[in-house]
Amino acid sequence: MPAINAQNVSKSYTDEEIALDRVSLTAESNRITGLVGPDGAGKTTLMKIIAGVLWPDEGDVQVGDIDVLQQPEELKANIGFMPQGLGAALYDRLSIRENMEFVRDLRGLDEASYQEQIRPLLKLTRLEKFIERRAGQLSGGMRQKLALILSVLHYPDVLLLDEPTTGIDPLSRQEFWTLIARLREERDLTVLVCTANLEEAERCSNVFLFHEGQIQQRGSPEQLKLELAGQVYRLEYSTNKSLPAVKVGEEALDFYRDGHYLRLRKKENSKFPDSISDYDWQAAEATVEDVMRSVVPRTELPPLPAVNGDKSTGAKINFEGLTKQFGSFTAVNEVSGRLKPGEVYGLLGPNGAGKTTLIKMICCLLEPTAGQVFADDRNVWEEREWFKRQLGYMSQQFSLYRDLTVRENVELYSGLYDADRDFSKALLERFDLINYEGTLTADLPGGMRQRLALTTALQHQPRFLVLDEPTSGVDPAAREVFWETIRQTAQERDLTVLVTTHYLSEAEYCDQLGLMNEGDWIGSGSPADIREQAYRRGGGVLLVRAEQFREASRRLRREFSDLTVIGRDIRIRTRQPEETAKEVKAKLSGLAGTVHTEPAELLMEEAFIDHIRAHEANN
Amino acid sequence: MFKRLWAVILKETREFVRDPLYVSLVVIGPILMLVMFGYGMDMDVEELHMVAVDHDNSEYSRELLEKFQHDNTFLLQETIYSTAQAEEMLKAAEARFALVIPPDFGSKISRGEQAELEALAEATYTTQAQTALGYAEAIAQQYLDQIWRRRGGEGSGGESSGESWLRGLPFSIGLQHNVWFNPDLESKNYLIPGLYAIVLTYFPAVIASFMFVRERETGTDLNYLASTAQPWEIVFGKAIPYGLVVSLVQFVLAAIALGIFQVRFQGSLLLLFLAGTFYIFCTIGLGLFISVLCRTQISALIITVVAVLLPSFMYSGLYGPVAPDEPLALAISHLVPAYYFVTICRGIFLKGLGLTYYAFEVAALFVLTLFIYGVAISAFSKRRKK
Repeated sequence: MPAINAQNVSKSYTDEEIALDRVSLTAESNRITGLVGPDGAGKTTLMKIIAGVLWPDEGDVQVGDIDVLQQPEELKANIGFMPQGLGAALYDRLSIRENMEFVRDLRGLDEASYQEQIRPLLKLTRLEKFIERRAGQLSGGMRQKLALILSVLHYPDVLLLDEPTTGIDPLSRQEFWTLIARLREERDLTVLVCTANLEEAERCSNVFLFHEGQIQQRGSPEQLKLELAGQVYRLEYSTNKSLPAVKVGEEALDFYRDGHYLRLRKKENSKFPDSISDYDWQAAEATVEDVMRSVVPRTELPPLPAVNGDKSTGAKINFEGLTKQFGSFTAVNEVSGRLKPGEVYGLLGPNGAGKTTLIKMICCLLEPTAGQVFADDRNVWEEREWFKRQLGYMSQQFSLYRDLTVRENVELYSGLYDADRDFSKALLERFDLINYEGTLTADLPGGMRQRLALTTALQHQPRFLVLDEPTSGVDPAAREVFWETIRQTAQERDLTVLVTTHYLSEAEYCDQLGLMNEGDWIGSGSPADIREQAYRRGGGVLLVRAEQFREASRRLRREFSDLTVIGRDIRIRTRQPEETAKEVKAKLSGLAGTVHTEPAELLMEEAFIDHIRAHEANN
Repeated sequence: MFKRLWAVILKETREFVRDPLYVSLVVIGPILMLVMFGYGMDMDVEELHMVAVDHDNSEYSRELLEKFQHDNTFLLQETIYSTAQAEEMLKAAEARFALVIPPDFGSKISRGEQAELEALAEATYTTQAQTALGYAEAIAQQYLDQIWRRRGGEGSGGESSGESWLRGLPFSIGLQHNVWFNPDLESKNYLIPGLYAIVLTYFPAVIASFMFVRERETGTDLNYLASTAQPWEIVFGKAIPYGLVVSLVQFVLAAIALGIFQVRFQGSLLLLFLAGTFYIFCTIGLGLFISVLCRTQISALIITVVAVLLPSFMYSGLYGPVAPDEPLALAISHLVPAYYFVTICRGIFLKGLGLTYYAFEVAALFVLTLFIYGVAISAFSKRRKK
């Protein structure tokens, strides 16, 4: 019997806003099941319905043998629910211990089983030495780990996790998933997890791909990827170049950039599109992202045609020793960097790392506690009025008026910034927004709103463009096209561009990177440099695949401390892959089925973790 | 059984004492409100600029004006001899009150006839004007009484003796003789106990109105919704710690009423605090009910002002008896908890009566409180709308 069984569940908030449209889903007990899809696809709504805190318009939901709609209160004794947001259910003014005690009493736990659990859990999450610290002073990753502990204290049978790792640092993310895997194993937990992160989908034993309130595809990641077998190719490609033109739908099934690779999906045994057939394409394994892209209708966001316009000259930006303290809390700690015209500089780090604070200091929106910023060797804080004319700023929740049309928004900002109207018009054409001129901003398709925000930020022809989390909450396909837009704009206009993001996979779109974690500057350089530095410090990765995956990972985990599991891939960090491969083979000897090992590249996530660890070790 | 209730109480207390904003809202808010309104609503008239028009200019008229000069209600600016000039002075706001003594004033009094005085009051501030007229009448009457007494109570005044007839002219509106005659002729004895009750209505309700909606805004409400916690445990778990904290504020408020405003206090402080504590739980219930229904703190605040504060001002009898000839107003007032508590407070402050004299009010408050908590708990939904 499945642990969770939802049948024909529908929910709409208003007549137009249909969150779920007759969705059916089952989750096997003692497995991790993923609800995967972009923001607004209906995942959270379904999860709340299963948790018994939201009522569906129609449908049935069973958890174990409890009918959720008939006996919601009986259900609640048996489930753990972690809502979306970084520690959203924590009380910031209570310490870790007090938060745990609150849940202990709210759930009516006896002291013995409480004490017995928390020690190992706190140890595993490395939270034990912060037990008296208030939740409000914990990092995003620590908050999520604490929230996970709180949601399992009462030994639930079912654990519901809504976007648990969005915006947390990669090390915490890894620890978080390790903890989940362990809890599932030790407690026979059934886990249902929502995620917009397609790499995380690989960690689930079963996934449901959501789009616009419906389930588009279901199955194990392996099954789903198998359906695309023989269709996917990749090509190592310099990120400095623009994408060649490939007509998706005619010449290929899919074509996109993923980090420093181009990915192409075409019908099996069909020929390559003419424009790119000369390159050395290599067959590649499909990823869940490929699957997601194959089932979700492509966002109609055409790439920009190239132009040769008049170039402005970007500003040379220099910041030195920037520090910001709020009371005793250091939000940004001695950060320095150099930005060049025509380059995209990416500020990478989890939520709460200090990226936005740093950006505000660079943009003269916040006075630094220490340090200085120079634009073309002029101190920007002393020449704020001059500097603001050089600056185009797109804030985190970009300040578009949703109830104005595209044209009205553009007119408003061109008026505010005293911009040249012809140039604004040219930008609208440039960003393919001209057909949307009369559309309400609220009704713009995903990604187009970002372009509009970019248009308003560029109207007064700035020499320095700053974008704070421009791709947050946008589906992956639209994100990728928007990055192309940013890159092209930087090159065309020779702009200096500074972008922040918490998506590590977006690092490769940048020419230069600055890595931040908890206010500290933990590394910088080009994406290749970052990986190279990590490689030199801790070596590469040995990828292990075993048919007896569970037993293999159990055995190897005992031997190798630096081991992560992504999907059914076991990744071991090592300096000597050949030696390690031999060791692995030895440990797994006697195991039925095949064991395959191969050296693999460091993922940006792994490189980032390496930098966090190196930084922690130095302090 | 009470473990969950205790969990909520403990958590609320810890959060509360660590939040400087809420501590100041709970402690400083009520104090500020009592002090500001206490001074601001003082309806006593002092040193009202007046001008006298003495057409008579007799021994009697001068003696009368001397009385006015010695009363600190009025500040006699000057004595003139033209009514028109007085009217001009009123228009130019050089004076707010004019007393016109007709030419035959002295002769009429000496003959023992009914004397007439004319008063012109600038009635932009109606209450102030009325009060001034009342005082003026009282002063005139005292003076006439004095004369009658001087004459050994004799004279031809008869029944009409001592009556003066005051007439309001263009600037005075609704000239009526409603002066308060509380023993010290001071409005504060009447107003402050009422305000005390209003302050204990508004602040507990406002704070309580944030309690649940605040958790809804941050998302911590899901702790309750996704657990087996019962609505009553959550409602009482929040009401109890806040109720006790606000109860402590009563001491400060009472100290201000008695210490700073020097209000007459005839009753028992213990009784006042007991009644107050019960009443605080009543108004906290009101706030919690609002909090359960709202989705944002700002809407909770606005609804509390409209649904709790305004009715408490209008229908509690703070300024005077609720219009007895308006059945609707009277009916509404009986649904407003402050109506009962204002009565109880005034009784304890001014008359020193025990609660037994207010059995009806106490019983009504009790029923209302039960009702409010009943509604708040049943309105508490363990499901979200979104």
